[in-house]
Amino acid sequence: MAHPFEVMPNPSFSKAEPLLQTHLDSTSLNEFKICPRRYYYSIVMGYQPMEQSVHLTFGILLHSVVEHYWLARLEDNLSHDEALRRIVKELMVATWEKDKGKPWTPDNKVKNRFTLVRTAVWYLDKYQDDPIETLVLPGGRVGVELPFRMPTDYLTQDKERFVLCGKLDRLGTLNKNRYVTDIKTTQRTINNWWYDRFSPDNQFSIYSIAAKIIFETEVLGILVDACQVVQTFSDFQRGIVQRTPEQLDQWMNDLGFFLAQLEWCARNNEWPLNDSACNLWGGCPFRRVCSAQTESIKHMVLENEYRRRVWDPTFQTLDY
Amino acid sequence: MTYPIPTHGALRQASRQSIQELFNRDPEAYTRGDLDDIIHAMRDLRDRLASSTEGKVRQVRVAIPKPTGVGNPDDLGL
Repeated sequence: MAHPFEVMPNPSFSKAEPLLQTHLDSTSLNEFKICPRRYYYSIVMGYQPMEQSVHLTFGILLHSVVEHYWLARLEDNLSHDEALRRIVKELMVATWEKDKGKPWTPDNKVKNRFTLVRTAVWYLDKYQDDPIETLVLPGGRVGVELPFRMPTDYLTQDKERFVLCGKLDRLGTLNKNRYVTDIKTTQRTINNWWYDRFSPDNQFSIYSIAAKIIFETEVLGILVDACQVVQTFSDFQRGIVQRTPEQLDQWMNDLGFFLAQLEWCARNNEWPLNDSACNLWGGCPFRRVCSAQTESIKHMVLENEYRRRVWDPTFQTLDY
Repeated sequence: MTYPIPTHGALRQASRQSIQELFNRDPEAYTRGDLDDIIHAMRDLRDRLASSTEGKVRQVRVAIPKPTGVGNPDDLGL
């Protein structure tokens, strides 16, 4: 496959085979499992639609301020109100377009600056006396915002090891059981069916394995705080997504199949298009690229409607 | 600039700054009082919503679709 533009340097890729990603996170793995061609555009070449999804922005910012809230409470010993002031300031600054001198105003009645701040304040007010006790790792590191790199048993043909990367929001204890905690936002009413979507799921399987291997903590599951965000209110519920050791073993076994496919694609520079996935999740963001009738139109679409960024799962520095 | 405000009730202005005014200002210059005003406005909204729905059964307005394997773009798991 001809590269329309130069491949950008990415530390998560193989030194021996430049198109082969050896350090993958759940996002990279998800993209490849959905469609190799989509993975090629989004991860290998680094394309992203010009307008970052408001859902992505909302989710990233909410995750970030909740993590910073807990660090403020646990490391800086701030009170709830002091920590809340800090993260509200952080949110407002992060959603201010300094170059334009105006606030971020996405055209979305549900996910916008106001509902983001509202959700953060209501959520943290609700869980300020969280019964989940945050773990403290050996060495005194608070178990919040924990990046990890987990070597697997899988090697490339050049004997480089595949590594799974990611970041745990928090490790905690509840009723003597240990959990990884995570936050998810949705517009839907939260019920048991909503939690079913996470079994199976790449991200939570990786988190469960990482907790056990890297942090030497056998977790009962992922404790998910679901945040329902609609125009007029935000609501919160907590549920557990569990994984058995057998499920995790099977997931690691299946991983080998996908890594072998990934290596084949990279070495052959062939990225098959899964046309059964084009309509999923509201439509693939690269649909216009794949449906372009000529290579020159494809290049034009990529140049005009997408920007480039490096998706590097290794960018988080390990600080423990 | 007009900022989208929830249609459920109007925010009480009283002696505090309007939320709209605060949201349109450069946050780098916020004082502690500005941050407290924002937090207060959010809490006030929550409290009035709770008191207006007290004793009433909340109608579930969001339909729960059957799992078809086709996802909703608003629910990307973030």
